Amino acid sequence: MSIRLEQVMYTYGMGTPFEKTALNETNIEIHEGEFIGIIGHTGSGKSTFVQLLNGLLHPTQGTVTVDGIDVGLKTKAAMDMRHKVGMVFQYPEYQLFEETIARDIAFGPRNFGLSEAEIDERVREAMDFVGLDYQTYAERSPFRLSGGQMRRVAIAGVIAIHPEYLILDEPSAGLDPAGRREIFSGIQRWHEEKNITVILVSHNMEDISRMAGRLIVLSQGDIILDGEPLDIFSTQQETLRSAGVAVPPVTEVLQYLQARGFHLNDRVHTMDEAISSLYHCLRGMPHAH
Amino acid sequence: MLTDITLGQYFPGNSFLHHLDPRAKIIGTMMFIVAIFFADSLLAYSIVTAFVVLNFIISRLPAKLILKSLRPLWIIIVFTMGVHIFTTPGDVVWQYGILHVTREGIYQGSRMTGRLIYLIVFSSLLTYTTSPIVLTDGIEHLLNPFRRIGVPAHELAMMMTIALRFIPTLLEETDRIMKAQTARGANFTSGSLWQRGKNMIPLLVPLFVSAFRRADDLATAMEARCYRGGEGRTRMNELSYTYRDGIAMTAVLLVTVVLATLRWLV
Amino acid sequence: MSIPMIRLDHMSHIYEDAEGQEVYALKDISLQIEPGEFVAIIGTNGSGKSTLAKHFNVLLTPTEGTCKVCGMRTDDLDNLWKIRQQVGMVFQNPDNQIVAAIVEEDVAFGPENLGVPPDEIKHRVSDALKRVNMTIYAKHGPHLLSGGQKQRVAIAGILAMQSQCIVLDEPTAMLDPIGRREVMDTIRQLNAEGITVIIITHFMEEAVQTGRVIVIQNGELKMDGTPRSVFTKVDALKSMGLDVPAASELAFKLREKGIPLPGNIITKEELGDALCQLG
Repeated sequence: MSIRLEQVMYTYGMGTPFEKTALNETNIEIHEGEFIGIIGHTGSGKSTFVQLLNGLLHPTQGTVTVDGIDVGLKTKAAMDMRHKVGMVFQYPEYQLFEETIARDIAFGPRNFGLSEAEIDERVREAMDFVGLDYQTYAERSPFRLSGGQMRRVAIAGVIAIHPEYLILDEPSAGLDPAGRREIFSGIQRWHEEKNITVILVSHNMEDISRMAGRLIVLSQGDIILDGEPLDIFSTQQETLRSAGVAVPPVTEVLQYLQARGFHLNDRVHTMDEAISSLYHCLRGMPHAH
Repeated sequence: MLTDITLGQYFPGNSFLHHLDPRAKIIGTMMFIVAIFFADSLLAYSIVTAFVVLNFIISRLPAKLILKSLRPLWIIIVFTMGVHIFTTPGDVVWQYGILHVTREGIYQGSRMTGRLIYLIVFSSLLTYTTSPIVLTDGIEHLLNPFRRIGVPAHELAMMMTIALRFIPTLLEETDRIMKAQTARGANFTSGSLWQRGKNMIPLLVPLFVSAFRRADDLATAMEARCYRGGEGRTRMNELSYTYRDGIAMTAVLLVTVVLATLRWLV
Repeated sequence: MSIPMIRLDHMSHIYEDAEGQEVYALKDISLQIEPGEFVAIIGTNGSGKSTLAKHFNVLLTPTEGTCKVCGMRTDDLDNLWKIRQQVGMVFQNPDNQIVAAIVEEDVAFGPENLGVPPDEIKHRVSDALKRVNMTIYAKHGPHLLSGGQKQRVAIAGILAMQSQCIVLDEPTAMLDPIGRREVMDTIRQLNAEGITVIIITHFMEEAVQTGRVIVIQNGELKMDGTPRSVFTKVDALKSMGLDVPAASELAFKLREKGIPLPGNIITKEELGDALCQLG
C-alpha cells in the first residue's frame, strides 16, 4: 500500500506564454504509515507536489498511483481512491461554508455517500479528534469561532472522510505555541493509533524534527533531499541553506557548539533531548563541576 | 487554470498608440465608432477598413489579435448575419421551405456584420494598447465635468482600480477553494443544471466571506494610509495631452468628416 | 527632552462581546516609546497585541486613559490625519493592503492622499522603492510578487508618506523563511536610518533582533525590557504559553540541572562563550 509517482512532471499553462514547469521529472514512493515532512521555499514545487498526490492536479507526464490505482483516470475506482487521500490546505478555515459546525464537517462524508447514522458518528468522532465538544459546538455557526477554533473545524472536516493518507499544508500557520500543540497532538495520535500516513508541509523545522520520520526537501521543482530528518540536518546543512531552508533552532545551537569544539550529539528530536545531549557532554568535561 | 486568464487584455508596448493620452483614445474610439455607422458605400467601407488596418499596423500588435478579439463574440456576429440574410424581403436568390435568402439580405447582412466586426476590433485596440489603470484614469478625468450633476467620478474610478487589482487574487482564491472542496468530495462539473447550481454553494459562500474579509482589511489599510476620498487628492501620473494626441484626433476627425460627407453629400 | 513617539497613560480598550458583556481587550496600559526605538510586542493569539497596535495609528481609540502620538492625543479628531501620516501600518495579509494594480502606483497611494504635488510624489516613490530594494519591480503587478516582496512594497508605501514610525502587525506570519528574512532585514535597516519600528510578532527569533520587548497577556502589559531581560525569564514566558529562543531555553534548563551558567544568555554565541569558560 503506497502512493507512487512515476516519471511525474507538471507544467502550468502548457502551450501559453506563461508556461512554467513546477515539478521536474520525479519518481518517489510514499509508504503506508509514514510521517513525512516536506520543506521548500515558495515556488519550490511543494504545493504542486502535494496536489498531485490526490489527483487535484493531473501530471503533464507520468503517473500517480494510490494503492496501485492510477488517480489520473476517470474511472470509478480512481474517483474512490481519491477519497483515501485527505488534504488540509493552508488556512483551511477559509473553506468553511455551512450554517452549523456539524453540517460543515458532514460535508465530506455526505459527498462520499455515507448513511446519516455513519455521518453523525463521523462528525462526533472528528470533533472529538480536534477537541471541540459536540454538545457545545455542533449546532453553532462556524463563522462565530476564533481563528484557531475555525482551523480545527476545518481539519475535522477532512478527518471525517477517514483518509488513509493525510496531507497538511502549514496547518499551524499563524497559531501560537499552544494552538500549534493542540493541532499536532491530535494528528500524531491519529497517525499512531490508526497507522495513517501523514504528509506535513511546514516551514517549522522544530515540528518536523519532532514528528517526521522522513524528510523530503524540494528546490526549484526537484526533490533534492529525501531521508531521515536527523541525518539530513546533521550532514546536509549546506544543501539546506542553498535551498533557502534552515535546520531546527535547537539543532542550530548544538551545531554551533560543535563547531566551537564541544563533542556532543546533534541528532536530537526535541529540546529535552538537546538538553541531555549537552548535559552529558558537559559532565564528560574535566572542569565542568 | 483560472489564473491563466489575462485581464483587461492589455499588451504592453511602445507604439504611437500606446503613448496616446487615454482621454484622446477613449474619445477617438467613440468618435470612430459613430463614424463606422455613417459608412454605407463600398468606398466608405474601404476607408474604414484601411483606417482599422492602419491603426493595427501602427500599434505593432500581432495580427492574430484581431481574430482573438472577435472570438468571444462570434455567436453575435453569426446571429446578426443570419437575421439579416433570412429576414430581409427582396430579390430571392435561394429558397428552402420557408427559408429564403434575398440579394438585399446578403447586402444588408454584410453591412451590419461588417460594422459590428469593425466596432469590436477597433474598441479592442483601445484595451490592447491601454493599461487598465491608465484607462480608469482617463475615464475619471472624462467624467469629472459631470461631478457637478452628482456623478461620483472619483469613487467610480477607485472602484474600478480596486476591482482590477483584486481580480487575480480572487481568481486564485476561487481555484484554491474549489480544490479544497473537491478534496472533500465536492463535484463542480457534473449533474443537472439545478444540481450544479446547488453544488456551487460550498464554493460561493467561502468566496463571498473571503471577499468581504478582504474588503474590510483593505478599507482599514486604506484608512491607515490617509485615504479620505477624492477631496484634496493629487495623482502621481497626471494626464497631459501632447502633439501626438493632436495628430491622432485630427486623423480620426478627418475620417469621420470624410465618411459623413460620403453619406450625406455625395 | 524630545517628545515621545508614543505615550500611553492608563489606557484601556473595552468592547462588548456577543452576549453584551463588557470585555477588556486592553487593561490599564502605560508605556512610552521614544523616537528611533525598535520595539517588539509579543503575546499569544487573542492577547490584545493587535488591538494595542491599532491604537498607534488611530484605527482604534482608547475607552479609558489616553494615547498620544508625537504628543498629539489620538481621541482628538483634529489630529487624525497628522497622526496617520506620522505612523504607518503594515498588516498581516500582504494581499489585502495593496490598493493599486501596479507597484509604483501603490506606493504613491499614501502621498496622493496627502495631496503631495506629482513631481514630489515621483521622487518619493522612487526613493522609497530604492530603500526597500524593490526598484526593479516598480512597474510589476503585485500579484506576481512573493509575500516578502509584497510586504516590502507596503513598507515603501509608508516611507513615501515620510512617516516617522512604522507599526507592523504580524508582517511575517504568512511568509516563508526567506520572505521573513527579507522583511526583517528591511526594517532593521530602516530603524538604523532613524525610523521608529514597532513589530508585533510571535516569532521569537524576530523579537530577539529588536532593542525592546513588550509582553502582553490577557490585555495586560506583563513585561517590558530588553530582549535579554525578557527572554531570560524562561519560566514566566513558558507559563504564558510563549516560546523562547533555543539558546535561552538550553541555558535555563542546564542551570536547573546544576550547571553554573550566567542567567543572561539569549544567543548561541553567548551560550558558547559561557560554556567555554566552564571548561
